[in-house]
Amino acid sequence: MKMSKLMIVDDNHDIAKTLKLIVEKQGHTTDISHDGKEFLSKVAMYKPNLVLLDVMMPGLTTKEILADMKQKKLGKIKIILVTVVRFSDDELNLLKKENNVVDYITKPFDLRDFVSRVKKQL
Amino acid sequence: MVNILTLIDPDEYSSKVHLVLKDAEEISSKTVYVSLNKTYNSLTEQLKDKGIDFSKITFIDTITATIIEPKPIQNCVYIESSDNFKDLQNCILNTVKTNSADLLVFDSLSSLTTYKESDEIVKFMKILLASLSINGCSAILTCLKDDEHLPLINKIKLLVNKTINLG
Repeated sequence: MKMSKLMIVDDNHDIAKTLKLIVEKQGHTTDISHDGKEFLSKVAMYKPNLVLLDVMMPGLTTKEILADMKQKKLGKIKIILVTVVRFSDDELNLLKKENNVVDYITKPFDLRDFVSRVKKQL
Repeated sequence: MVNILTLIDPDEYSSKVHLVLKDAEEISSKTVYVSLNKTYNSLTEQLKDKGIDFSKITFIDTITATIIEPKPIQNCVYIESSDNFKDLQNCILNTVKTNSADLLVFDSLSSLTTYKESDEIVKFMKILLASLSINGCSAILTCLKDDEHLPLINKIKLLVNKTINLG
């Protein structure tokens, strides 16, 4: 199996640790950030294959994080939003069109579904 | 003015919030609904599907503008500062006054815990509820019923007239 590098961005430490455990059990390596600023300070160096990004976090908004990534020419990095926030289909399509958001997983998630959707993007 | 705290089981959250909004439509002449966890489009799509009339509701959407550029909609105010309590409070009070609303539905206290500690939330709610009362507006506050939010629930209970367990 191909090993990939994932970045997990979630202000909830328990959720971040849980995602890390799940992803590393699939043979991938991970890095955790607890807010957008920390994530942006590391993403260029870490060069992840996929980012699991929470939407509701203190500090930088998702829009600011995505804009910063584009500005730093990191807009090609795949992003899965992992969040309690509910979007409409139109909003999700717009996010996919304007950014490299490839999927949207709602919390609480089903473990098998989560693993399969992450795998699909790697 | 009556302020109510509604506690909702996480598994039934969406359906119970829909019931709260359905009741709000019946008991209030004008409602302001603050969403901290659903976008306006997503929420109104759900309400349409459930056949719930939302013509008397003005929405404050704190999510959409943090993710995309929202399209202006007449019955929705977009803000991107749910972690800035002063801005949030000003927005709520302005919207209540502008629309002469008699009911505020705040969804949810649980979402606020993403941004602030429970003591700050209690302080914010105390000021908000007092300001709403001056403006003739009652409030329904929703909160997830789980152990994580128990300390906050116990403090908010002291600020409201009634706590309802919605299951």
